[in-house]
Amino acid sequence: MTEIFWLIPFVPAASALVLILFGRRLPKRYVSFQACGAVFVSFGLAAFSFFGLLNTSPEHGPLIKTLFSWIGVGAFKAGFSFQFDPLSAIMALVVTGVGFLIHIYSVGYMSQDKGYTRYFAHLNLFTFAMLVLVLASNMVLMFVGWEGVGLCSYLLIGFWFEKPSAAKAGMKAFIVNRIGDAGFILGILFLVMTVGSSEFSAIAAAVGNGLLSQGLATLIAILLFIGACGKSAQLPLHVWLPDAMEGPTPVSALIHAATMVTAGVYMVARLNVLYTFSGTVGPIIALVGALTAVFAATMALVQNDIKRVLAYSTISQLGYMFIGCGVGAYAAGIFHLYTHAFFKSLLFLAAGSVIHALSGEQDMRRMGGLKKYLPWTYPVFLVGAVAIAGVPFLSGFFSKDAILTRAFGQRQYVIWVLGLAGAVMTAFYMFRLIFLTFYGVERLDPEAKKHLHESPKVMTVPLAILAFFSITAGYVGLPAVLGKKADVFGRFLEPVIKPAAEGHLGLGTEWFLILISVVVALLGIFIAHTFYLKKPGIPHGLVARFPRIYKLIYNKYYVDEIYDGAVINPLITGSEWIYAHFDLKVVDGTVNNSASAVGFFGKILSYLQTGLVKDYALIFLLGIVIFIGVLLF
Amino acid sequence: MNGFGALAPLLIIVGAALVILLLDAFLKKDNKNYLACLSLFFLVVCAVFCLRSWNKNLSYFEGQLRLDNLALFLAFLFLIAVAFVMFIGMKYLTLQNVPGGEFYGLLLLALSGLMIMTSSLNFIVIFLGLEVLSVSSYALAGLKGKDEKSSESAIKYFLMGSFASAFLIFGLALLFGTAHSLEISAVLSSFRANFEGQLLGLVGLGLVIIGFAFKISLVPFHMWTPDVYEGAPTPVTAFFAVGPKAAGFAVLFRILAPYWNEGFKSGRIFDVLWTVAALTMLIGSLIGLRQKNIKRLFAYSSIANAGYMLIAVLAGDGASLIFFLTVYLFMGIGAFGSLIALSKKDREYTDLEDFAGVGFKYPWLGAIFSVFLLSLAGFPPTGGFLAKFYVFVGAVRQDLTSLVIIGVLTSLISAFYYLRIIVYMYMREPERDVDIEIENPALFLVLFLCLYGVLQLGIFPGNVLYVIRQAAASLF
Amino acid sequence: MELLFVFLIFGLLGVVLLSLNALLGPKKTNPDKEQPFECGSPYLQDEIKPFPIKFSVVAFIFLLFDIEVVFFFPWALVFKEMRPAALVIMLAYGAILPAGFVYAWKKGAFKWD
Repeated sequence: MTEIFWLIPFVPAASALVLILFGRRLPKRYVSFQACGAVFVSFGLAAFSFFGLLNTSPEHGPLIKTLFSWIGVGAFKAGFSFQFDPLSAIMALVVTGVGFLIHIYSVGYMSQDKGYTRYFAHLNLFTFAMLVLVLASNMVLMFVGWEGVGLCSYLLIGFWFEKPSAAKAGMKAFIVNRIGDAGFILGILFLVMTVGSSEFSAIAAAVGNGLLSQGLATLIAILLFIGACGKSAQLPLHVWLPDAMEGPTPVSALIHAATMVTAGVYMVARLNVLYTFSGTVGPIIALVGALTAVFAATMALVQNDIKRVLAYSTISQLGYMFIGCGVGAYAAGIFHLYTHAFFKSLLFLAAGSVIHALSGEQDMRRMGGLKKYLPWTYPVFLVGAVAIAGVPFLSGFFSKDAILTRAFGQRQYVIWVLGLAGAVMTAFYMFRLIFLTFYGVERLDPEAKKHLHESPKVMTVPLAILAFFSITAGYVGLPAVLGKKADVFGRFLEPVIKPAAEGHLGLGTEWFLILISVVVALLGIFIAHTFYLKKPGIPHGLVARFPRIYKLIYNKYYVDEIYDGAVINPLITGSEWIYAHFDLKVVDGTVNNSASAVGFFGKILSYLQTGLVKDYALIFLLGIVIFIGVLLF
Repeated sequence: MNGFGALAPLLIIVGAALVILLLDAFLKKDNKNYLACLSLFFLVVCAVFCLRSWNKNLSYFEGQLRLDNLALFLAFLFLIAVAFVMFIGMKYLTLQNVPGGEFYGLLLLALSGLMIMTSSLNFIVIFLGLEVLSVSSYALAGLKGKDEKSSESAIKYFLMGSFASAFLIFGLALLFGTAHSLEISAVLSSFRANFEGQLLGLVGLGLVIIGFAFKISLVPFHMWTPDVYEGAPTPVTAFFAVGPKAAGFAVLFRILAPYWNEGFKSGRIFDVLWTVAALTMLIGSLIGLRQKNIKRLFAYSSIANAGYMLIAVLAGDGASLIFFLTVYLFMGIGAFGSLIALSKKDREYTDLEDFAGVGFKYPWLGAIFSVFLLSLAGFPPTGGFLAKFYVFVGAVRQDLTSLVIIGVLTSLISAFYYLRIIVYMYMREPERDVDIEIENPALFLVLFLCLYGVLQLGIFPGNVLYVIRQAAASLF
Repeated sequence: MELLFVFLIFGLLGVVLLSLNALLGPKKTNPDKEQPFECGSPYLQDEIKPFPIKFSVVAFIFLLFDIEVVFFFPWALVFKEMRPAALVIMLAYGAILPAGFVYAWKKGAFKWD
């Protein structure tokens, strides 16, 4: 087994460096070739290492490659070291694989943009940071990647920084993430203080030999989970993700669907030993996840912006992944992460294709009947929607079912019911989107209709590939009813994630649960069909009937307004008051006075610097006399 | 272990200096760049010899010349410094009409002086190296023969330098009188035998310290620094800022560090140097505030930095000192190199006012210069931050907390004048016409390398620190 | 210690007396009094002008070579103990000196104008 895997992140990094330094002088064609090529090479390396991993027995433990020792303060050491094990292998494959397709897609999507090179440079840089995050072998290096993806996300959300709303959205994402990161840093600090190292192996060992008390483990786990909430947009830190849709659509697909936002789930799964040990944190995570799943799904029901629907859907699906982690089904959580990466980036890219076709229109109220105009986009969009809705035999069905079955098996019935409710809504809002966009009457802007066209091949081919995986990706993790061996995915992850004692569900119960899932998915689709195709009057009737509720949901439960009122405005007024009364008078006064005092001494002293050698010699002599005098007496 | 290998690096440099001086005298070519290439070749050969002697502890002349790891590491630093200075000087010489091919020869001679100083444990040999260095430095300072300021700086440097040397050699005489030897260890053991009774020896040691204090510009022996820094050609100033300072501190550390472990810590030398360190930091940062000329400002900055380095000497913290010197090499040459970049034919821009708006007119230069300034001011993640951090941490461990407090306060004060340059570059409208000769690949190569060095040492210092610890281990 | 006090007291006394003189003494000046020479005839030039010191370079070079010859004395003293090595070292030393001489010559140090 070679250790070549440490090169995986550096290929995109090198490409980003070249693009940042010399990008302006390179021809566009070369830029796209290099950017996509770098990610493809990375993907090749990841695949190569992955197959190497398949052929080694898990007893070897994870492969660790320390490039150099990075921080050494006292007893604490952190190496710049990478780790390759089944979990990071899957993450690396998802990041580079989906990332590569999105790079290709971007070649078409961004072809007219004047910031073309900058875009690819940042996209490569993001890939590098994300790979550092998933390959890091300790929390400190992981934090570097964590912050790196945050930074790149900020740069890419605000990519069209001329638009004030885009620049503002970038800021919002950055600031909300800071809140989570505060918890994350504190968690790392506590970890380092108690364990003395932040290597994942050391953390697992510390849990094993009782170095870490349960209370402390809970504290650390909660602090780290706050960080995960920020990055993965869980309640109550979810507010940045919908606004992040201001960025280019491929960015939303890569960062805000497939990779960065799943970092929180990855982190929890990576530290599953710690979370299992703490015990009490699991239910909290499951509850947060379940609430987020339902809450975000309700908001997705009423959005009119096609990308925002998908954004809320992402938040909701991330909630499912956290349910998985919370009920101890880490492998199922990662499994959902993996299938979600395919169908959600497919949905985003397909939505991008729709937007592209309509010359930038994002409002579903001005779409409709696009089925015949977009013969490529429509079927792949449908595949994505069916997959996420949880219709059997597609990837989303298997992964979501794995999570819910496990929740049921753990007797977390509240979570299970919430999950089911979310699933109905998921199916509903996805098909609402499909029906509003592709079916029914055309409500197109006449100007946009003139330019209506299907996207070029460079965009549709990645869509087709993603659609293929959205259908098939689930077959590596079949439910237990089809035999113990069916869950290849879970068994592959076993070296990292110890399978917990199986909740003993009878075969009958399992079949029953699967049946319920199927019914739920079909029910959602059916309702959407009735509401938006059969009897289009119903939604309006409902809105007229429950205007308050509609308004509440439509305005996203006023969370942004609550934050404005409770936190931001008081902060602004408070800081203005402090500025006026404290800063200007006390601080500036002190600073100015001390500055002028310092300047005064400087002036006095500089009179000594006469420029005459005899004075210099005199001072020199005086210095000697004093120096020797003090030595002697 | 004895070996001719110990002599080889020195021989190469001295030989190269002679060859280059004679070549310059006989081949009267207008373009002197071939001399730079030739010197570079010799520097590389010398570096190879230095690398091969690592960990071998070679010595020659019956131990008078000793290539221990510290000497080798410093020699390596000096080689880098001189190579950088030659590169940033190449274009400068033609632009500013400095007639000298002597520049290269004298630099090599100064380099040999530096290497002699750091690779001996005998006072008289160290003195020899110091004089070789000094005499070449005087000539280097006056290289712009037609320029009044340059001549003035050379004369001032020469006068003050001879003054200091006189006291240094007087001190050596007194030391020899008491210890009957000029080996550093012999002097130490004679003090060990009878510390209080050796008043004359103490005076001698004090005078020797003063001799070095002059070279590394500690207050109150610093008065020459601003004038010389301002008047000397800028590449030479860059050399003065990093080369002699590093050698002087290394020697001072070699001489003094054993005394702290001897229980003389309450001794007066320590107290006096404590005061000198505090004064040096204060004067360096306070007077620096008043300077409008960037070269003079850097002179005071280098004085203030000498104060921080002296803290490391007082704390007996060799590794931190050497790390500081290493970082200082990169940021010093980088800062002066950026200054040189801001010049054109027959005109150098060294006033603070000249820097107004430069950040927008020359974004790359502005950005690079800002990094060096931030490093000098001690902001993370640059090397300047870590250097100060290590020195302060080491000093706190040795109960020098009050000195560290002064150090932190003065670095706050000096951060003000570094940041002021950045403010001028980015927040002022340009008032004067500043246009620069951009065609200078050698200079920009050096700037880039220095930038790399500053960031590498600030972010990933691990490997360098490992080597430095090895080097510092040979001190005791 | 007493000696030190004597020096201190007399030194201080001297400083005090001199400064008292400067402080208290009457100062009645006029332009004629301020002239360098009060000999009645007006002076011709008003300051000290720089003048060329061409011999200085020659003097420096003489000094260098003169001092360097001093090294022959210790060499002669230890010559018997380290015979072949001493010869080699002095030969190297002797080779460097002419190099300096040639350099000075080539650079025109001996040209009078």
